[in-house]
Amino acid sequence: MDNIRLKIHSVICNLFSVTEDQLTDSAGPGQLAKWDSIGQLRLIMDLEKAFGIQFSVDEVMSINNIGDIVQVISKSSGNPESEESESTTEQTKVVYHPVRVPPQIFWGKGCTSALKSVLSGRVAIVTGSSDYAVKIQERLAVELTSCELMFIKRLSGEPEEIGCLEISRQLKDFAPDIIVAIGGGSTIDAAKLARLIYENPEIDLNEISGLLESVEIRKKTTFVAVPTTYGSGSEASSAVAITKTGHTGKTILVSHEILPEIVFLDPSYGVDASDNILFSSAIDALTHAVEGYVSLVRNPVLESLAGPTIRDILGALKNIVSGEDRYHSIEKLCYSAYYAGLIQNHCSVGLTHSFAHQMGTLGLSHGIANATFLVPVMKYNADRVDSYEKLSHLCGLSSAEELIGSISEIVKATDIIPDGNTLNQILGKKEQIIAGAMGDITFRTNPALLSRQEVEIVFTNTIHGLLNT
Amino acid sequence: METQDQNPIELILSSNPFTLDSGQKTKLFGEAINASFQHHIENNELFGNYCRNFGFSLSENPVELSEYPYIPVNIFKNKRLTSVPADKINAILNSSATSGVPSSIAIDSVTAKRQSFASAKVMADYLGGQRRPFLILDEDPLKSRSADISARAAATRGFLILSSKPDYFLYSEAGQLRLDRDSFIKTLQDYENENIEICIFGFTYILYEYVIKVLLDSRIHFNLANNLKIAHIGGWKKLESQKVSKFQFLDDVSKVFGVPEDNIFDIYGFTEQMGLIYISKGSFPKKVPTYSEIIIRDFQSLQPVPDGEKGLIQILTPLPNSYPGISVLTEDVGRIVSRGTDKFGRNGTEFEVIGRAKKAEARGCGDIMAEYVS
Repeated sequence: MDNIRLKIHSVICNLFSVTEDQLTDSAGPGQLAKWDSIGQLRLIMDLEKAFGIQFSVDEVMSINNIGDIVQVISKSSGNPESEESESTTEQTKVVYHPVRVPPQIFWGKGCTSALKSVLSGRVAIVTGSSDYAVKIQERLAVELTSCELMFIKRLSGEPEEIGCLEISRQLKDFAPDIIVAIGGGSTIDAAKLARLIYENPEIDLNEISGLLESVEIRKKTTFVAVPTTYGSGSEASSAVAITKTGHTGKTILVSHEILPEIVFLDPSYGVDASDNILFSSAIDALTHAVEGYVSLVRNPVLESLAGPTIRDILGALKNIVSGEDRYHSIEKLCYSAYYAGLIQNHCSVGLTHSFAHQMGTLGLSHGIANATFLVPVMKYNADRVDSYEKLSHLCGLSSAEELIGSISEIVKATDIIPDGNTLNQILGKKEQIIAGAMGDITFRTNPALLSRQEVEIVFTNTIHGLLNT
Repeated sequence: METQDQNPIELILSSNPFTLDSGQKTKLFGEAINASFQHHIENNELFGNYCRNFGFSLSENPVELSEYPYIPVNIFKNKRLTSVPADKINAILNSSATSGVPSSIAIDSVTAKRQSFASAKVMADYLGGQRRPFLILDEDPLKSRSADISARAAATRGFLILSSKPDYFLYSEAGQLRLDRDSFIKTLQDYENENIEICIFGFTYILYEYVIKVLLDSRIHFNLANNLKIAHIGGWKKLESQKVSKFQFLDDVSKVFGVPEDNIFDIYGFTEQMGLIYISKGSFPKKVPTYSEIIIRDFQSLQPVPDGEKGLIQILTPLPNSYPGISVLTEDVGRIVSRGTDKFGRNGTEFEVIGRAKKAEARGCGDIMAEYVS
């Protein structure tokens, strides 16, 4: 038995006059006679004295059995002083987390030429496997002569467990000092997960989801993210979204050590991208900014970015659709996707993403999935909360209706919504998608708290609405 | 993973106390109250009959809060109402009462847990999420393990979850309660030099009569602006009878401890809905948390009055599981001051308690304490 558990048992045995054999992780007030409300208060104080720690109010309230005590104390002993804190200052009354951004960000057209100034030693470069990705690899092979390089190609599609495990195997063989991920959100996410597995080979992906506490990911490597689509904001994100083997929806894994240490925001990749990729990526970013702002998780430091970010994305898309000022519009999208990623990383998102996370197995890219559900979700939520109204003002518009209308217009103009066949396939998996969406972590932060019936209404409104247009 | 099919009562009772906006609260609270009425109607025959006689019939969907029946608080003096089997009852809460008839409330483990959670979450929202040393102006309630608990002891015990180190400064002597003055002063002087947050917790009259007045007379004061918050509970009746107004109380407490008035929290609650507390900071109004809602009713017609008008305070809450204290018409007079987000960022209805309805019994734990010690 581990030391923490042993010590906890010892405290409990002394206090409640019980023997070791009566103690299991599920033992609590119902099982141990002296563990009533008074007993619990005494137990808390004795544990604090024994371990030299102090529990917060939330931690005390979370304790219902010995297993909960083990968890709370393990977290407390294993981690350095917690960065998150609960504040009740005059200005904010919600739990808040520190704002975290990548420590170093290179920006501007061609800034990836500065890669040679930050890379040294053994460098693993992860890209997609398209012709374009191959060209990137060829160019870097010529430029990065002072490094020992290994190029890894990721299979196309949304990041899946098998693909990430394969990358991590290659990382293990090569033992890099630096991992560079150059590609869209799927490539960066896959490389992030591969890094996590490489740094922690004992981890079983089947056992983990959500917030990964006590997982160190920066022991051996530094991670550099170079997004080529604008985008998922993965370069600003502490999360990876992965489809686990045997699952249909995405699992979100979060650790603040997943955040890349160095980022290159280079608009020149977007110049080569097709309109379809530009549009679907930009609407992904747009969804982050919208859903991040209205979500139940507030971050007053970053919220102000939402208005200008949404304005810039809408303006850029309008220009690209009409063929005007293409380069500068792409540049705007490049930086806006980063800001939208920051907002999303700190504020979570909502029902659009909950649905979109179920679309991976239908072959829909995340951007197209978001484009499908964004406007109907906005309409439904906006009838129930006033945050869309506030957001519209931040965007320089007069009402939630005007904001939704502007976004709807742009989504239609980009013409990336799936065709009738795909929509019917989505409809065919209705029950599964609704259940998956409601179980998704992002559903909890949707601004309107919806019942199953209401989620079904949004879903059918979306698909039937698109089928009828 | 949790889904929206989670029990609506547990869903709202597990929320943070002041972060839901009005739309979210209306929806969640309505569902929870409706479910709560269903539980108590089905499990307490008297309550079920009462609701039917009230002309209320339960439907699947929530109705306007004002349409739900309410029971006068006095009912709990005459009857011990339960909505769970007898073997589930862990404790009986007895309120203080001057007329010789206390309220008697049956508590099961579900209700006890909800009570601790609700009061701790609200208090922590004002005090902060870190536990801290408490200087408690009462006897040690941990000394009693009786299943019969006075409301005073239950209230104190409920706040102990916030305390990392409780110290007690009242003791009994010949049936009277006394303040350990020297120990209290020394403890505060020690904390003045340390940079940790502390809380003084006690009953309003006791705090004033046995601490503030003594320190004022001795010209002792402290400078604890950076680390002291004071939480007091128990009503103003006795102080007002001695011509000490709320404003004078705040002024004197502020002066003695060297704290701004915003650090002084007046806690309002009552035994029949133990676990629900309403806090005013200084002279600001009280805030209704997510776990309950307030309606003010006209004295004569008992119809809801517009915001701003005085009337009897009714409080609805889905919190009690073991007894039907979910919609109680109190004998306190109050008015709704505003709704929405206040300047501290808290969402919810704001209200004031103006006093006791005429001809009502004198109630209040602090007033009873005053009887014991005066």
